[in-house]
Amino acid sequence: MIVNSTTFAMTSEEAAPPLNARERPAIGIFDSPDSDDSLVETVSRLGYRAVSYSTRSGPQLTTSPEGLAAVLITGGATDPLERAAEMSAVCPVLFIGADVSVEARLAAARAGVSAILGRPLEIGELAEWLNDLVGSHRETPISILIVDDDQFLAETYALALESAGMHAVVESDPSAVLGQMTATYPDLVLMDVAMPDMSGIELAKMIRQSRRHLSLPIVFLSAEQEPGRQLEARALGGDDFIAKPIDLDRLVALVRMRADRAIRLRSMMERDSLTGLLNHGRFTDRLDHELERCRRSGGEVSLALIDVDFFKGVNDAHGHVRGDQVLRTLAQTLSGGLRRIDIVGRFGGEEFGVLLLDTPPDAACVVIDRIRHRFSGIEFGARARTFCVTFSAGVSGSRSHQSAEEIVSAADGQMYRAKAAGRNRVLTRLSPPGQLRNDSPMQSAESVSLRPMAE
Amino acid sequence: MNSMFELKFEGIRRRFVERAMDQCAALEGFVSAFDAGESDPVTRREVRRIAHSLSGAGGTFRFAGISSSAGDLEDCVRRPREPSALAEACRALIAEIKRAAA
Repeated sequence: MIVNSTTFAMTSEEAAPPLNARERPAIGIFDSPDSDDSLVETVSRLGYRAVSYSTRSGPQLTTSPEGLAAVLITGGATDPLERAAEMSAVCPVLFIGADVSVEARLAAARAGVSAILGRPLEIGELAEWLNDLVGSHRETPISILIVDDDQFLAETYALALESAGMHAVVESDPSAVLGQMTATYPDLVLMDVAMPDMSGIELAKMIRQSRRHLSLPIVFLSAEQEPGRQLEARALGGDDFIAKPIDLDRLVALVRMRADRAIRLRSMMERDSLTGLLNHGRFTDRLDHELERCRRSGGEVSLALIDVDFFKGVNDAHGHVRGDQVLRTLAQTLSGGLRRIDIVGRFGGEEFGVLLLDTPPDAACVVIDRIRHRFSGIEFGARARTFCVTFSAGVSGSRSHQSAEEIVSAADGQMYRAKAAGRNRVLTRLSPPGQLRNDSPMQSAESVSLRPMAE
Repeated sequence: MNSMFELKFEGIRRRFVERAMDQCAALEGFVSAFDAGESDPVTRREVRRIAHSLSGAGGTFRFAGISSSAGDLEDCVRRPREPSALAEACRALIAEIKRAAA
């Protein structure tokens, strides 16, 4: 094993600062004043910022409730239904209670509750609800690339779209558009038809030459009044046509509509239906893209391959429904524990990939290990059948492995090393033998991962 | 649209008017040529370029009159019209630009 930590200029802490707590969506918790804060701990483990309002003197909304992404209210909280009615005006409300009778559900529905979770609480179910209700927090704003040789018009379109909460990038030089698309991944291209040197129609043809951009909506802007030319623009890859001069309100509405639909369609094509993470193909595309970016900029990314320990055992012992819940919860724990810029994908089966941008492998190990620790403490199942699950991970960095094939193979090798060393650990080539990461190295992984837990 | 939008939009709109005034000066030169009965292809191409630009942008900057007369000029220059007709269409557009700048 080569141990050479001096290769990296940055220390772990500098390179991978813990995810800023403010960046994580906040979940308000209204529990019994006598509660042991286990709900707060559970929500934190799922990667959210838990804000407790469970005080004896009733809720003290010191944190602005507007900042909450959702709230959890238990039947033991002070005036739970009044609280639910109050909070449901601000954000989605989840109710946790032993009473799941029709009467209780009706009262909760009238108080604006989005979902009721029974007792004992199933963490997997809670994770799924939170993911459904809060999941959209990770969506970045709609990104629009504007191509118009008239700088003033381009700036104005950008201003209108930005004012409506979208992200707009202006490119006045048509020959730079293809490069700009690789750098910004737009959700939609807004393009002038009549430009000097290269027409918008020619540019659309060039964009459509790339398989990746086949489904990208292109909306043409033109003062062109001839229907024949408009038809030609559509036939050659344009999705819509807006006549100049442009009414800005109409522009914003049309762009949002087109982009929303394109994002939904793309998500269906690119995401894994079980976990909502990028699928294998798309994750590999992003890996290629980030490695290329590193080659150009001299930056560094790390790849972590994560494999659930004894997953077949989970399915056999607890059924596939529970198994799916474990995978979805892991997906949520990963997404919640990483920065927004990091990329998470389901590699296949029970294997996941994480691409940590601008992070060397030793720092990536620290981050993944934190998630490993958090995930291993989550209890699945209910009553006497609760169980915990662990994962093993291997990490490799782009400085030592430049091609996608090499970096995947290196991370895979480390992951198998982690499995062979007893599972429930994160390894990279830099890990010295004495620093294998495991909370209970003397315990067999099987007993850690599948041991039934007492309530 | 909010007040921050309006503030920034006004800035771009002002720069658009300044540019339109430069284009206006060029058009005035072309009017003299058209009045003298000249309308060579280079001049017509340049007039068409300016008209196309103003027709596409004017309305967005809330100058519907500029878009409309620039559209007429563009239409006119595309067809085999007499120089006097071109001069007249140019004058209409010049008047609209000056009204916007006033």
